[in-house]
Amino acid sequence: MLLQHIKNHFFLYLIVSLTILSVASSYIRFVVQKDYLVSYEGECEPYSQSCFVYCEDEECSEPFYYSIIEREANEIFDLCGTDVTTCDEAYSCQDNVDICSITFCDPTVNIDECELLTSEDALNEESNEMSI
Amino acid sequence: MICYLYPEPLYLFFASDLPALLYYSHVTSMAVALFVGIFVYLNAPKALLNKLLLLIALSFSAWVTMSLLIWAGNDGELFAFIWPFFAVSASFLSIFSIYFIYVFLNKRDVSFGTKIVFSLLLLPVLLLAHTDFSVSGFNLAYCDAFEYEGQIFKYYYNGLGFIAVAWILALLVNAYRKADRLFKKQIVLMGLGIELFLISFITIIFVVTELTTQGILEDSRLEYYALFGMTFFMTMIGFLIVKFKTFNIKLIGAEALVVALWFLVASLTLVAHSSTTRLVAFLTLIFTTIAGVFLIRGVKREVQQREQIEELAQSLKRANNRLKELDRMKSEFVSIASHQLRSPLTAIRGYASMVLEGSYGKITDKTAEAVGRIAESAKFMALSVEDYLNVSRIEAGNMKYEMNDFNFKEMTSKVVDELRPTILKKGLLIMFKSDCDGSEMVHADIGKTRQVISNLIDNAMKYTPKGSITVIVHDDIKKKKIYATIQDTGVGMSKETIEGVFEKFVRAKNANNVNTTGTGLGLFVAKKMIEDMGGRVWAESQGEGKGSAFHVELPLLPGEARQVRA
Repeated sequence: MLLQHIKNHFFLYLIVSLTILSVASSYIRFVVQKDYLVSYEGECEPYSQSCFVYCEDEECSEPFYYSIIEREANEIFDLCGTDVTTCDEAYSCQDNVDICSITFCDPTVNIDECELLTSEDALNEESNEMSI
Repeated sequence: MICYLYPEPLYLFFASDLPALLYYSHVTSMAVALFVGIFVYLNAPKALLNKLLLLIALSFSAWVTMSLLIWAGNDGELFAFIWPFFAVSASFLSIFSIYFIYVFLNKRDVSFGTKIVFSLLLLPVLLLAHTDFSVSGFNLAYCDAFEYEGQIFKYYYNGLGFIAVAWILALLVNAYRKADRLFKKQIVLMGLGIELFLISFITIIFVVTELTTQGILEDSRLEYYALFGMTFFMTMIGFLIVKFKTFNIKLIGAEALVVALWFLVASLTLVAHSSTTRLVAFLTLIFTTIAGVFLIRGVKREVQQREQIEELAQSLKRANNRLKELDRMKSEFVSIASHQLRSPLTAIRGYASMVLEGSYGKITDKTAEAVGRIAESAKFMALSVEDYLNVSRIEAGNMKYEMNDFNFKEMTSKVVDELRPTILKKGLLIMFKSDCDGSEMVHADIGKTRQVISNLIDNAMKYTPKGSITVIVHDDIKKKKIYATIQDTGVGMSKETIEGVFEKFVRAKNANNVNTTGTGLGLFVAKKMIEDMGGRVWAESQGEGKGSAFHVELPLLPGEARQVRA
């Protein structure tokens, strides 16, 4: 009787128990332990570093230069809490950290996304500002 | 972890910069799926098919809710936690859809072996959902995890979707071949609904996420086109419920229409941009709700009344069939009983006749009078038995007719002559009139026609205390009919009596005043016999005390045949 009942309902019991297990495991991993990587935009100096660039409009009147920082979520949470934008430590990799990388734009890979400004560009920019 | 480029969500999950169509696709399709799923489940919670439809609706709703949360929120930690469950809910959708279609087509649960296969297919998704195979990280800038999704895992659960589409198609085709016409229609509708839903859902989401991962699309908002398939699927389910009573639900068209209308108006509030339009849509929604409730109530009442009438008609039909059966049994019983009575009656009449004729020696006048009464009663009883036998033969369809050509006028005249002495003895006058030329032939059973005319004249005699009986034979060459009218100056009949006088066991109200021995079967038998021979019988009277006229009509033989036979 019991065997038959289990045989009839085992699919339901299996998926319900595995779903609960899966939700619990994910919760522990992502919310409690924060055992995953996070990536976000880091600082980048376009005159000295190869930066990713983001443009708001077609003319790219106000370009935004950035690098990509990737590190463990629990580590950045311990350093900065929930908001990385209000924390200076978020933009550099500390020495005692195992997993932390700052990626700059590689023109051989991301040919349209990178921008490295020269000293000539800087002079042009300065003269534009003076004329305004 | 906050997705720092995105604003805090308004209300539960409303964000200011999202396209209205996203809410329309998500909220409407989820509401429709949940409504239909829960409605079907509550109508028969123990039915496996209903449970599976609810599971499909819940899996879909889980996917949509997670999608809405991610679109409208900025809590990266929460999103990283729920991201693997897109794969879980999509896999559930695929497997539950196969299961659902199997039960729909076969009206039974899948085998234990198939359940093992389902489990094995789901197992990798459920066991690996929380691992790096599923998602290893989260991008706080874009607020998504596309770049951190495991490729094998992603292809596996999307592959499950395509397996489901193929498996369902195979089940549908196989069942369609064996199904009857009515079920074929249901298979087509259900198949169209679930296949279009699965194909659009799996394909669009897979393509959109792939393009987003590769950076070709800025974001995955085009996924909202994937969700309209569910509304189509649920519309098909609704149509199947209304049209074919699938899921054993008695849903009337008006209910389905009102609900569909309600959803349409409600969804308008999601796409309306201006507050005025939103207000108008909201007021229309309230009006639709109130009017819909009244409409459904009214239609439901009418449907219930119609069902009650149908039930009554069915029970009347059953009662009628039972009565017919009882009537047949009664006729059978009467037939058997009458046969048993006829033999002793013949003996009584025979011996009484012999006693009266002096075969057993001379008898006194008093004895002769007594034996005469015995003979008279036995004769009446024999006639009654004959009537009962005729009725049972007619009702059983066993009455035999020996059809021959004969001269109707001649036959009627002879019957009148035979009955004349008895009529005169009763103190009544009897006249026979005819304007026919004597060549009028009919094709009928002469014995039974004679019996009918004789019965009608005998009847006229019984119900005419004084006066006369006139028998008229005339024809109508144009109509090719011949008529015998037996007219008397007797007790007559009211209009109500005429209506029922040819029914079984029906006698005129005033009949017992002049004749107490009738069975109420003679006219019934006469009418049935003449009708069986292609003619008709009817009665006329000016009213009670004003005499009656009984008409017999029979078809004449065609002119040429009449002349040859004459």
